Amino acid sequence: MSLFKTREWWSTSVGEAEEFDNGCLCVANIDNESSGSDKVILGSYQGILRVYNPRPQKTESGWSGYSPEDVVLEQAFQQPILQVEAGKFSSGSENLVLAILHPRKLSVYSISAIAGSVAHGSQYKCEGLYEHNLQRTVHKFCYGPFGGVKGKDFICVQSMDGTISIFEQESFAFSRFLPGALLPGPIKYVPRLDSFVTVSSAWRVECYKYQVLAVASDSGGKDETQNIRSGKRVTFDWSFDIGEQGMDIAVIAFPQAPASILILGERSICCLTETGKLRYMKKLGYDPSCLLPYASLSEGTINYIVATHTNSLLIYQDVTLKWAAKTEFTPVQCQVANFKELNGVIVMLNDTGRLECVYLGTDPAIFVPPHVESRELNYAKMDAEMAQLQKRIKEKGQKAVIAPNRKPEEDLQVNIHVSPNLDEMSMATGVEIPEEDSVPSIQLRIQVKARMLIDNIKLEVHAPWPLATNRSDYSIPSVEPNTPAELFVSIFQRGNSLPAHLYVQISASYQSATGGSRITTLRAALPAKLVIQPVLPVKSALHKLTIDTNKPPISLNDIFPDMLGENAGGQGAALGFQFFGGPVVTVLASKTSQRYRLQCDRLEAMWIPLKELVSRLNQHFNRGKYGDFRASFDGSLPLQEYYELVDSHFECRLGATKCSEMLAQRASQFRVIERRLLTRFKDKTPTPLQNLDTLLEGTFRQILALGDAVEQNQMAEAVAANNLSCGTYLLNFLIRLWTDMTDEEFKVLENAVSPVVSESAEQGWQEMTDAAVTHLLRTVLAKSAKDAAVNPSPLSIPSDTGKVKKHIALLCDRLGKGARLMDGLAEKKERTIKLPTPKTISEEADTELSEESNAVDNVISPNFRSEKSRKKKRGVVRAVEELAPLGLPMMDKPTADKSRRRGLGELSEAKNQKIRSMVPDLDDMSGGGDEENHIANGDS
Amino acid sequence: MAADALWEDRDVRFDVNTPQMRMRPGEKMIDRLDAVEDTKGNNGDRGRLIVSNLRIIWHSLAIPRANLSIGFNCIINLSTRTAQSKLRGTVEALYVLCKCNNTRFEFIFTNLIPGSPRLFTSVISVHRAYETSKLYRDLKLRGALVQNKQLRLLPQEQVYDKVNGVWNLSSDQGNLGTFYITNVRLVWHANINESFNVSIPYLQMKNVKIRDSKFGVALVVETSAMSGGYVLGFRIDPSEKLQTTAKEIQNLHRVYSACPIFGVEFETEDKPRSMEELTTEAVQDDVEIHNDAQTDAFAAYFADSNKEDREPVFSEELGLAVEKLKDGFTLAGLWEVMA
Repeated sequence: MSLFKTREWWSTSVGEAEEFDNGCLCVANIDNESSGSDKVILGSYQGILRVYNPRPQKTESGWSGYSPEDVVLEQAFQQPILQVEAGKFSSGSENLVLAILHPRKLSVYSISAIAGSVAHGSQYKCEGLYEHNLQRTVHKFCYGPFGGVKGKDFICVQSMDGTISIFEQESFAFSRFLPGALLPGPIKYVPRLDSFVTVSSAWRVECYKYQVLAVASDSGGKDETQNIRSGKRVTFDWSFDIGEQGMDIAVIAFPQAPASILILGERSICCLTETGKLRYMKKLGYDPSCLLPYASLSEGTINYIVATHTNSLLIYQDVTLKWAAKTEFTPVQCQVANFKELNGVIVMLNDTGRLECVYLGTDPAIFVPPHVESRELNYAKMDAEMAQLQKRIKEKGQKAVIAPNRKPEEDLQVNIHVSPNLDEMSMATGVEIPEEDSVPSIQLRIQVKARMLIDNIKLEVHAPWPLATNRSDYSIPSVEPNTPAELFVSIFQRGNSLPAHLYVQISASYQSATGGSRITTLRAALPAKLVIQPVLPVKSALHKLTIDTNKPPISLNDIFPDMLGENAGGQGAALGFQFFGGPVVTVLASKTSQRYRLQCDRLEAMWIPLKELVSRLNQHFNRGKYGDFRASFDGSLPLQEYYELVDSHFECRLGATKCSEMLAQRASQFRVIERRLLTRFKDKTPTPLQNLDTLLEGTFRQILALGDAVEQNQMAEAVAANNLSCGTYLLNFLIRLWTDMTDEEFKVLENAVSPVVSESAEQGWQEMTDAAVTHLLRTVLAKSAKDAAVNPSPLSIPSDTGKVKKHIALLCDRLGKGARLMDGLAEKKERTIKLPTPKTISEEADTELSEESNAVDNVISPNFRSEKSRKKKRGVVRAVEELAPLGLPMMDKPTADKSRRRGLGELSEAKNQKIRSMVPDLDDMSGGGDEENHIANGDS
Repeated sequence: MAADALWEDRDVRFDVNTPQMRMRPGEKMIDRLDAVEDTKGNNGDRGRLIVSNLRIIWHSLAIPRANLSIGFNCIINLSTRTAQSKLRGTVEALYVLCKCNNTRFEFIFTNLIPGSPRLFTSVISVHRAYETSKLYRDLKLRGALVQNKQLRLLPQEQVYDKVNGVWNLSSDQGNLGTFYITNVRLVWHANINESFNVSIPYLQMKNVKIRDSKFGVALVVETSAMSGGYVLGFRIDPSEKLQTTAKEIQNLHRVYSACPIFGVEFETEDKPRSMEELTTEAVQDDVEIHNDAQTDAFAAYFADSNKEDREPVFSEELGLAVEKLKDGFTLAGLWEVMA
């Protein structure tokens, strides 16, 4: 940007809240003063005409500026003034007179002066010469000696619909439609060609000959009227595409300059010859506001001024920038005027009526405000502050870190309050669980607080599948500091799958006061009762997990007060939880030993209840503070079952690849058949289709079927991914309990064996986990130099899951042997490794089951034992059936629906009995020691 | 007299004394903001901003001597932009560009109450009201004052008298016209040319006398220097009528001077506290030391180097008026150095 500024010579603020635009300013010797000094003529959209004669006086302190006597004339009109121009519009004389364009009227006035004895005694008369009422609402007008008339100017008014009307002074000549007019563009008259140039809505410069327009009459020149409805189509003389809207046109008729037409576009300036050939074009790097060619200073060039929306005046000679100056405002129009005292003054007008006559400053403005010293300084206070700051620096200097540790306070705070109770009326919609009629929902209250006014906050609530929200996007128009916004959102389970975790993520994005975009994110934990419901416990299950603690056992009723349901009033030794549309997990508490057991037919389903159990026990014993309660896991890790989850997820992945390969193959086949069919149909001599149509149909069906298969596989993969995620959470948790890990170590473990199973075509969980575990085995868990040398496998889908399984087993083995996941921690004592072999599972499960059911049998009935031992696997089921005489309904899988329907009162006693019967006494197992636990957990 | 004493809206003053801080007769406080920082000259200082119908006053709360008085007539441009405040960091601030005695000043004010647009709305709307009521305060020649033989009245204006047969003695033959005497101004217009007129607010009248002239005994109105220092002569016949008219104008001038109507109309949503409350709060120094020595406090607000502009001349090179070049410089040379 230029260092030069415009210097003010004379200025004033015109009008009282009036508006101006291009066309409202005109500079001419309108009163035909003998000295030929220009006057500044302004017309406002509020209909006030003003004429100024700037005569600033040089004084000691610069120019005297505006004085009241500079006003020549001020006259109010009833209608807005769109344009003012001075020309030889009077038929009586060759004096300059003023044409004023109103929306529906064109008036011509003469302005004459009667000098007084003093400056304020001069008076000016504004006399109307003639006026034309217009039939159409007008846009602009141009003038000139149309048809080569001498010493006169005629007027061409362009209306909003693009029609032009020619007025030969007092008389109306004709009106014509310009072809293809949509919106009026700038229009000017070219005297040498006797033509009009305009920029049409087609972004094209068009030139129309006056003669062509004049003769293109329907009525053959008789009774021409403004109110035309149709007309002959006129054709342009030449046209030139500029590809953008024209803002202004200027016709160059300086003696030295080649006859040309300058067109100001929104982003460029074009210079055309009079025959419509491009002379040059200047692309602009700014938004121009107006254009003014003012002279031709050397042979063959044009000098022009461009004012910009970036507040500068640029002075060009053809395409060369000769000068630039900063202005105080963005002018809508500028003119060059010659006053008595000074020639070549630039007159600028802005849209609010600031009128300035300026010249170009030649002193570079490199001004910086000087530093002020005059304020009385309070030295005592400054000394005190200095001393205090020195002291603080000294204090901080002792410590290594002086860097500010205060986190910048966030402008936006989001608080989440999870309602303690489920919604009375479930908000769940679109639930995809076939077994459930309705699932509960829970309400979150989200409070958005701002430190200052923040506008346009976008809030997003993300609930991971299968959970869903009733609304996920919110946009808050504005939050004021003292009135936080509150939103309510309900979360529920929609998909038919096990949820991997119970968190929803909420993020709010906004623009801070400094203009940077910021995002605040936080997680809200949901209660387990959102996804599981209490049901009656199930006695037998395929998988069992036993958790040891170091505290005397407590009743489960005490730690699950809100999730008793059916089981309320029981002894609190067994509770059943069922996932919506999922398996039942039974939690058992030993009466005498310090153990708790979870059992379920599916391993992964135990994750959420297990986590809930341990955290609730922790809370119960430690009362939220750090206590000495500790849970531990002594069984063998359920790796085999975990591998099944890994495999099933892997199969889904393989399935997806296979499906997409087949789909691609079939699709290309389909295209080939289509192509062949097409060539046959196009052939002029018809040939038989040779069953290609059948083939097309068949392939089409195959593609549809494959599409369905892909969709199904995707669904299955999502479920498998969630299961694997649950399983991984569970495994990690068990490893943690098993090896008594620190939080940091656990973090490393979770990062390696990640419970986040993301859906990605490029890299899947198996290879990522394999790579991460291999890395651990090579580094912190390496036993020998040989281990460290193992090369990591490439991150692409493996052919089978053998490797990852092997590595996970190895990881567990090393961890079990006391290896630590972080450097610098003491090795722990080696633990017995209880990694099961797959073969033993089925057999040992049975033995174990009989062992356990024996204990149950003792409680239920002595003579049941013999039958039980025969039935073995179905033992528990039978046991319940045997109890039928006691009044229990026959059932082997309690569901929430059934239990809800039953009355509680009369059944409570029987129910208690039944619950009791389900509880195996874990104490029996304690004698068995490690070996028995091994068996017990081996099948779980 | 009011005319000469009125500087409040036409001057920018720095570190003014307590009497100058007070509201003059007819000046009314429109808004008061107690936590505004003068970001340019006193960054980091909490101060009070008062918007009256004539000016903006800012003073520091810690040092009342540090103050500014900015007349609305000096304001060229008001805008809101971001500024760096010591008290609030990057904030939206009010930029006030002023011109006073050919010196440009720029002021930046920041509201320390986050998110409150009151600073901007008050100042901008009062300035607009000031700008659109110039006829109350400024002498106007040849304006659009009369329409269809009727004076276009200002909102708070009342016509007290209309006197026909008044000769304006500004040209050799004189012009017959009509006086309108109102509560705000004296208006004369020629009967045959409505656009030949003059509107003289009492505010701009230096004195009104009956004096002898070459046209005989005439009513002479002298206007203040800032409005151009005109001497306007009017002849009314017979002389009794001249006397009564002069008396009436003189009386109204006196009444007006005691209680001027500045014409800046405004509505405030919540009424600010009374004037007494404001004035008593100002610290009354026991001894008011009138220090005539200029402070350099204003230097911090310069918007432009305060050097004398050189004379404009027509440049053949550019075909436009330019500031006269120093000896030995050419426009092309200067431009090539810069570009």
